Parts: sequence; structure tokens; C-alpha cells
Amino acid sequence: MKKHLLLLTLFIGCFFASYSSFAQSEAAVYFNSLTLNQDSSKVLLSIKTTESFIVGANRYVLHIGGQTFYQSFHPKGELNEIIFFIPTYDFSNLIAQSNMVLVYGFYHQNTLQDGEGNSQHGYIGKHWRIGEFTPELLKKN
Amino acid sequence: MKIILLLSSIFICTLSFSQTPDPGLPGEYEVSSQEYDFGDETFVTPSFPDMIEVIGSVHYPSDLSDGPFPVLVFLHGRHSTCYNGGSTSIAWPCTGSWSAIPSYQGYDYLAEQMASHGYIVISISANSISSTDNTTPDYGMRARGELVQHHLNLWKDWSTVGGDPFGDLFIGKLDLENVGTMGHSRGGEGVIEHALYNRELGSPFGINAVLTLAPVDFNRPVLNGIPIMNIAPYCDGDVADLQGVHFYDDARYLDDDDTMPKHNLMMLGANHNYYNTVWTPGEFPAGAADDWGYVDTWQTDEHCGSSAPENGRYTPEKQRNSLLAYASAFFRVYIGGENEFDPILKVTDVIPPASSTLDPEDIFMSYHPPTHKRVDVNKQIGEDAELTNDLMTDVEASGLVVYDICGDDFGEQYCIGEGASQEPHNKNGGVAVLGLSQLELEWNSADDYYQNNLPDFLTDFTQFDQLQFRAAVNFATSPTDTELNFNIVLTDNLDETASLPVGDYSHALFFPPGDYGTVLPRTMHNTISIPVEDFTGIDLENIKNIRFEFNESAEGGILISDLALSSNNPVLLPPIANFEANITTSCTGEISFTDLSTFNPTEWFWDFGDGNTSTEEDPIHIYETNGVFTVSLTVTNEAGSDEYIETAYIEIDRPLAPLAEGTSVCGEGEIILNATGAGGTINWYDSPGGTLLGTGTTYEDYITETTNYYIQEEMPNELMSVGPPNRFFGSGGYFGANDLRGIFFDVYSPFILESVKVYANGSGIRKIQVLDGEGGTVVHSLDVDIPNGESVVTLNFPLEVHDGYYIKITGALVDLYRINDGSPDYPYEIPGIVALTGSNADPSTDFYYFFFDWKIRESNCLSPFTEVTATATPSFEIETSDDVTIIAGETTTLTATGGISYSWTPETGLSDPDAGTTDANPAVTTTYTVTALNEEGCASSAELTVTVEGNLNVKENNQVISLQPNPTTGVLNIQTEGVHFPYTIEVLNLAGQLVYKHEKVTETIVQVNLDNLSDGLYYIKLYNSKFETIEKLIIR
Repeated sequence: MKKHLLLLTLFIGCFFASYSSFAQSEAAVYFNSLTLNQDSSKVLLSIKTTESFIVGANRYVLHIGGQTFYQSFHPKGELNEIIFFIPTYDFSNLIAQSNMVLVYGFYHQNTLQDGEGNSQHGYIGKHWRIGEFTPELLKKN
Repeated sequence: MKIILLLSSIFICTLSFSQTPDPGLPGEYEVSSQEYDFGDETFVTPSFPDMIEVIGSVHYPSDLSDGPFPVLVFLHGRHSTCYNGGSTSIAWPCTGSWSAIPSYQGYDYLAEQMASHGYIVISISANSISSTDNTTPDYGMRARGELVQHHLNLWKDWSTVGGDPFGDLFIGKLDLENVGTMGHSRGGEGVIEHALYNRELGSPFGINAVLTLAPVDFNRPVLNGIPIMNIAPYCDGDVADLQGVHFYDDARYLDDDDTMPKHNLMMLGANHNYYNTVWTPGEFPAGAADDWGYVDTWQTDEHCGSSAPENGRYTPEKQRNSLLAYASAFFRVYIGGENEFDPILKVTDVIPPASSTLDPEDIFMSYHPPTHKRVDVNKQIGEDAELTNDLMTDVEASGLVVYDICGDDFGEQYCIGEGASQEPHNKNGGVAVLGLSQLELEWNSADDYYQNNLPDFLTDFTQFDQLQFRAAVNFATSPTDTELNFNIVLTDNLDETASLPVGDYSHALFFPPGDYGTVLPRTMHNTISIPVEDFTGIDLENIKNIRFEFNESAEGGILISDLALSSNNPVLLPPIANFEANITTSCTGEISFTDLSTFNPTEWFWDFGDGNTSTEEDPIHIYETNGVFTVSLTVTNEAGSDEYIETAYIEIDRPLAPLAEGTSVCGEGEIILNATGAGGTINWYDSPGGTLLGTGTTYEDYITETTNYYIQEEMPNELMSVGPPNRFFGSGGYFGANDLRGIFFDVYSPFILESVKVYANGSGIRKIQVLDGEGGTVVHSLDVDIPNGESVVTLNFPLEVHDGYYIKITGALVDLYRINDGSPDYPYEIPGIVALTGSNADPSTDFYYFFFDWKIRESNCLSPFTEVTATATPSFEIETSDDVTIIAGETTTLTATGGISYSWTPETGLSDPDAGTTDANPAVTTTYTVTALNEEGCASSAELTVTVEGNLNVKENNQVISLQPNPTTGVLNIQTEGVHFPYTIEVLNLAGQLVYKHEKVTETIVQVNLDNLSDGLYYIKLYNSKFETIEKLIIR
């Protein structure tokens, strides 16, 4: 019996060790903040996770309505936060209350979230819905 | 799954074991390894924001005496960079208690194996790039390429002059003309980028094989001219759309001169990470993961989920064994020249090497032979391939439920409709680039077939070794979990047939396993290759068609591509001439011809039908005369030649050449030229098609030499319409989302997009843009104040030839009408000029966005050139006699030459003022101007002065002057009486020049010695203030 318990413990331990290194649940990923960078050329949209963002070959892509943003970084290399660059011009053209969705990977279908007969497909790829876009949250420096 | 296993058993029984030597076994060399580390922040490149580490390892034969050895370079991909216990980060450099994750060491098992076969294997660290690459537009790909090159430069030093840290260990031991590279994950695109970068630099290193391992393909670079192999792990949960297959797909037909093969290897049970031991759980303390869990968190998928019973996943060890076997085969063939492993790569032996520990149903290879070793029967590219193959012969299909080329346009970019992850070939990345054009077939009767007929020049199959194509089972239309089969049938000219079931040669018609959301199952084409010699009982020298007979599986659906005949040796066939022109009617006269001949012609001879010819491959010809012209192309290679004629192919209707008369000017000067046209704009050039000098019917210039001008009349072209004329052909509404939707269009011949019609839901300024593709570069951008309701928006966008333009509204305000009910009938086109191919909505053909009734105007019509000459007659100078001095009362002769008529002024004292030669006896000193005209009517003038001095023998009273002797031989005695002293003696020649002078003479008799004067007539002048007398003096 002890042997079985030991094996079970090892199995569970190994199992979670294998999967604890990246964010896996939707609730674990959430919008954090909107700030301007130093020269006000970009808005920095911060997303955080209680777990860890994946560090792999693919790229995190941020969809806000039908707009797509690709450039991002992890502040200080820490994997509980990812910040996307949004050019201020693009930011001013984003539609308030659009859905914000973070996707691991770029998929063309995910750009079709506009009521053009495609939104019923939802998003493909590993993704997290992180709420509605609220431009008023932008913190002015 | 059970059916698959059963069929697999049958298959394995048919093809029991591999005949090919096993490339994955260890070699005979003992192996040593060393690390090198020049610091975490050492390499700097403008293409990357951060400093990059120069760290790596090398595995090599311990006994280097057999060197130089070929070189392999491995580049890992993006992974966590630092760890601290079980925690990871993506910082760089790692500081404090954090240590670097040595991703570059994760391929040591492969490096050791290759070193044992006599390779020097370098694996380099790229953690710094992983740390920051998501902030750069190209995701650090250029920097990865530059980093590989930097390491190779270091190794060049170590292999030539040596140096730290290796001293002279590697001097002369690396063959840097024979280098293979392997990149994993983002490193896969990195090594493609490196090969292109090395080529840009003039190929300082010989990159002879590139292996991309589970790569990304974010930027869609294409590498031709180097053998490539892409490895696609079916259970990749990271690069979940297996986008690296595009390195194979995109390169296949891009370069007609590409003599290098391409391979794609699908490993049916592999994931992304297990190729790297550092990324494999249990092998490294932090950051490792089974990436399939990225998409299938609880690993439940029946095939890829490691928690599912009887799943199809490889263990980490099996995955590494598979890489050992196939990477070894690839590098040992293309770097090592060990061609005995060819059958594994060329799909002529589909049994995995024993060292891979794989079964035949675990792994599938695609092989694209080089251009000179294959003949493409049907590439399955474009809708035309449904009717005509690449040999320009008919294609037939009978009874098929579905028979359709798909993936070839944006309206049908996915063949099954399931999207990127389930159709990796048709992954559409961040840029609008189509994927694989392929043929979808579905059958439900044993009578159904698909047949490619063959032309007379390709009936002899004995020159080929294999009949091959790529195929995948369409999981959407085929019976679930059922492996398909059908027959390949060759028919000879006596209608004898030989039929071979595909299932006897390949397991590639498996039903793609797994069933997970939008990821599995998924299609990937794999090569099916059948030896030609196995088709027995027919005359292989007289084959007339290739037929796919669907009489094995009762029903099914497949996707196929790349039907070809291939040979192990170069295939030399006479060329088949073919060509096309960019347009066939023109009012400019300029036509671009493109050679479309097959079988690699080496010489071209074009006859444009107007008396002009060219030997260029793709000439541009300007027709000077109007008419209808027949064009022919004769192409030649070592095997023969062929001619293709297009009768009455080109119709030229240019405006008449304008009229103009030349003018002339003497020497240099201003000119005014006038031209007459037919009402268009007349342009003045310095040469035909040269620099534009001016515009208008009159041209003024100042010339110093004869100058030719070339005038051409430019007439506005016809205004044409394309696209739906208005919004009323379907139903829709106003679309307000910003910067989302637009229309794709192709331009085949340059034109100006003058205007479009729009329907606005409220007035306001909109920004209309044309880009070179969705997400591409902005070509034109215009802010337009669009009123409410219907209006015509003037754009005047000049557009060059390009496929895939994209027109859209950007900015906050859109609110324009679009159709969204499926009514659009793409393409809207004017053949040879423009085609509106679809929208960027999905499905693209259901929507029509914003821009109706396009008004376009092709380039203005251009007349032939008229040459106009402004002649600058060369200036001339007349020659005259010299200025002359005469004594008053004398006559002299004036002459002028060089002209054909003369005029002297003033006329005083001249005998004939209109002659070239005239006598002159002016009473006083006179300067004459003589003006002459030459044959061209140009004038030239000169001046000539006649100086008149005194009078002969004018003396005072009682003066006596005696010159003795006169004539004299030189000594002259002058005796005077009654003159005042002192006086001066001067002797002048007939030209009035002073030749002797003696002043202050006070003697009555004086002797003058004139010995030095030549014989002739002179004047001797004696004078002072009281008198002056001149006498003639002759010296003999």
C-alpha cells in the first residue's frame, strides 16, 4: 500500500511539475493596466497572470476587437506579466468596449471578430479573454 | 485506430524491412567536446536592440588527424533563459542567484552522434535574442542569422590562425566550404535567415544543407538553391499550425534553376520540445514542458494527449532517436556525400531506419526532386490545373463527388475550411500570402477516376525511376479512422494497362489521427512514390496517360499536389516552347513577353512580327508601327528545340507620330522648334524614352552643336469601369468597424485608379489606403472628405503591376456601405488589366467592401517618336591678305577667301567691293570689313587695314636728295642738299614694316648698309619736322 501511495504521489508530483510552468486557466490571466511610454509614442497594455506565461516558439498576440498587436515584452524578464506595445495612433482608433483576447499564436481566423459572419467561430489557439477594452483606464504621465 | 493498426500490419508485411543502411547508428570516431564563452553581452548588431552572448559548444572527433571535417551548426529556439531552482525567467543576462538555461546543450546527443561520423558540430546559445525578440518586427530572425555568421567567423579564425580558447587545436581541421545548419523552433527560421544572409555576403561559407526542426515561419522567407529538410512534429503544441512546412511548399516552384532537393518529414507522434533535452521534463530542473499541453491542457487527445490510453505519442527517447536517424541521413547525404541513405530521403524506402525505433506508420517523408531530375505532370496550381496539366495536355475527371483546385486564392485559401492548425499547408500568417494550391478529390464509386493525359514527347517512361505525388486524406470527407487506397494505372498506346495500389507502396493515406478542438486532426501532404519499373505488362516507352482509379476504397476524399515523374539522374528533354505577353492590345506599343517554356531552355529567339527579334529570355519590346502581329518564340537546349507561335497575337494601335520640322543655326544659338500633333500632349525627349526635356507644341533651346530631339504625343487612354457599378446588386449595410476590411486586387498592367463610388452613412474625412498586401506597405494614402450618401471619390492612384494589392479605409471613421449577403461574384476583372479577387473577410467571396464602380485608366497612349534635328552649322573663318601700308596714291590688292560670296565695307577706294579680290587705293588709312557667306548661308567677317602714308618724292624747295646706287646691292650713299639737320632715315618694306632706321643724321653724305635686307622693293624715307620725302629703293 505504501508503495502504491508513493507511486501515486510521484505521479501527481511529476504531473503537476510538467504543467505548472505556463498559464493554463482563463481566470489566471487578466488585464492589468494601460500606461503611456516615456515619449508618449506608445501605449503599454499590461496583462498579468497568477501562473506563468509560456516562453516558446510561438508569439502572444493581443486582439482588441478586430485589431491585432504583436510586439510585447516581459518586464525584467518576469513571466507573470506581459506588456504589449500599442502605437498611440492605433490606440486612439480602437473601439471602446471591444473584447480583448490574448492568443498564443497568430491565426488569421482570429482577426475576423467583427460580426461579419465569423465571430461565431470564436477564437482558435490557446487563448484568454481578458475583458473589454476601456480606453479611459489609460493613466496619463 | 484498430483499422489503422491492422492495415499497418499488412503494410509492414508487404514491406518488411528497410533495404537502406541505417544512418542513425554511432560512427567510428571517438568524440571530444569543449565549451567556449566570450561573455553574455558580447556581440552587437544594429538589427537587434540588445547585446548578444557568444557562447557555444563544439563536439568533434578526438582524433582530428583525418581533418578537415565538415561542419554542422545548431541553433536553438526561444525558451526561458534563466532559472532559479524551479523558477524561470526570460531576462538576460541572468543575475544574482539566477543561472542561464543552456538550451544550446539540448542537442548534445545529436552533436555527439554526428561527431562520431566525422563532423565538427557547433551548437550556439541565443538566449539574449530569446529575451527580447518579441519587441522587434522580425522577431529577432535577422539577428539569429547574424549570430550564426559571427560564430562561423570565429571558427574561421580558429581553423586558420588559431587562438583562444582552443589554441591551434583546430587549425586546418574545419571545412567551412561544407557547412550544414540546423535550427529548432525560432532557430529554424533563424537558419533559413542565416543562409540568405550568408548568400547576401557573397557566400563566405559553403552552406550546403539546412534543416529546420519544428520551426516558425513568421516572415515567410524562401530559401532556394540549398537542400532543405523541414521536420514537422504532428503533436506540436507550440507551433501548433506546423507552419514550417512552408519552407518546403514555398520553395518548390519558385526557381526554375533550383537544382537542390527539398524534404519535409512529418513525425506523427512528436511534440515540439522533446528534440531538446534541456526542454524535456525530467531532463532539466526548470522550464521544461510537454508543449502539447499548451493546447490540450490535460493531455486528453486520443492521439497527441500523453494521458490518453493507447495514444500515439513518442517518448522523449523515441523522439530523439527519430531525429538522430533522419537528421543523420539528411546531413550524411548532403554534407557527407553518403548517397547510400538517399532512399530514406527520396521516399523510395519508406521503412524507418531501425535506429529511429519508429514504425512505418509513425513517420512520413515528402521529397521534391530538383528541377533537372523531375518532370512536373501536374503541379495542381490554379484552377486551370483541373483541365490542363503542366505538359499542356488534357486532364480528365469522371464521376468524382468533388473535383476542385483549392488553396489557390483568397476566396478558397483553406481547402477543408478548418483553418490554420488543421490545414498547415494553408496557414495564412501575418501577411496575406497564400499557402498550397492543391487538388481536392472525393469519390463514392469504383468508376470514379482522375486522369492526366500525356503529350507525345513524354511517352517514354523508361527514362524515369519514380512516379510520385503528395497526398493527404481529407478528414472532413473520408470515413473516420479508415486508411484509404486507390490504384495508379498507366495505359500504353495499345490500351494495355498496368495498375498498382498505392497502399502497396505507402502508408500515407492514413486517416489523420486525433480529435482536439481546432487543432486535430490535421492534414499534411506526404509523398507517395512508385517505381516506374513496377508497372509491368505494358510498353513503358509508349505511355499515354496516368490515371488514379478510385476502385479500392469505396469512398473517400484526398488532397493531392505535385504529380511528377522523377529520375535519379538528370532528365534531359527538348524544351517545350511557350510564352505570354503581359497585354495583347496596346496603344503604347510596349509589350513585356515572358518565357513559359518548360524543360530548361538555354537559348531563346523571339520574332515579334514587326521585323524585330530578341535573344533575351523575357524581353520587353516596343512596337513602333500599328497593326496586328504574330509572335513566335524558338527555344533550345542540349536535347533539341521547339517553336511556339501565337498568330495575330499583339494588336498595336498607337497615335500617329507628331510632325515637326527641324531648324538650323550657324555656329551656336537659340532655336525654336514647332510640332503638330492630334490634340494630345507632345513631349520632347533627348532620346527615345530618355530624359523629358519639355512639353508642348513649341520647344526652345540654345544649342552649340547639332542636336536631335525626339517628340512623342501622349493621348489619354480609355476610361474603364470595373467592380460592381453600385451597391444595389446585393444586400448589406453600413460597416463601422475601423481598419478591418478591404478588397484584394491584382494589377496585370499599370493603370491609374481615378475614382471609386462609395455610400457613406454620414459625412466626414476618411483615409483611403492602398497597400501591397494586407498588413503590407502603404502604396497610396489619401484623406478624403466624403459627404453623406452616394459620392464619387477621386483618387488618381497610379498602380504598377502587382498581385495582392489591398484597398481599405483606415482610421477611426469608416461607416461605409458594404455587401454581406454572398452576392459578390468575384473576380471582377478587366482581363489583362485588373482583377478584384475578394475581400479579407472569411469567406472572402461573400462580402464586398465599400468601393464600387472603379474608374481606371491605363497608361496614356503613346505615339512613336519623331526625330527632329536642330542643325548647328559649323562656324567658318575667312582668310584675308595682311594689313598693308601704301604711299598715298598707290594701289594695293586686298583678298578674302573661304566663302562663296563677299562684301567689303566701306566701298571707298575699292575696285570691286563684292569680290573676293579687289584693288584698293584709299586716300587715307582705312579699315575694311569683309563679310563672306559659305554654302550653308552662314556669314563670317574679318577686318583688314590699309595704312596710307605720305606722298612719294614730296620734298621742300631747293632740296636735293640723291640715292646712289639705286638699285643697290646693299650699300647705299645718300647725299642731300638744302635739307635741315638732323633728319631720320627709315627703310620700310612693302607691307609698311620698318626694316631699318637711322636717326639724327647731320652729314650731307651718309652711307647706309642694307646688306641684311633681302632683295626687293623698299621705301626709303627721310624726314624730320621740316620735311619728309620717300623714295623707292631696290635691293638686288
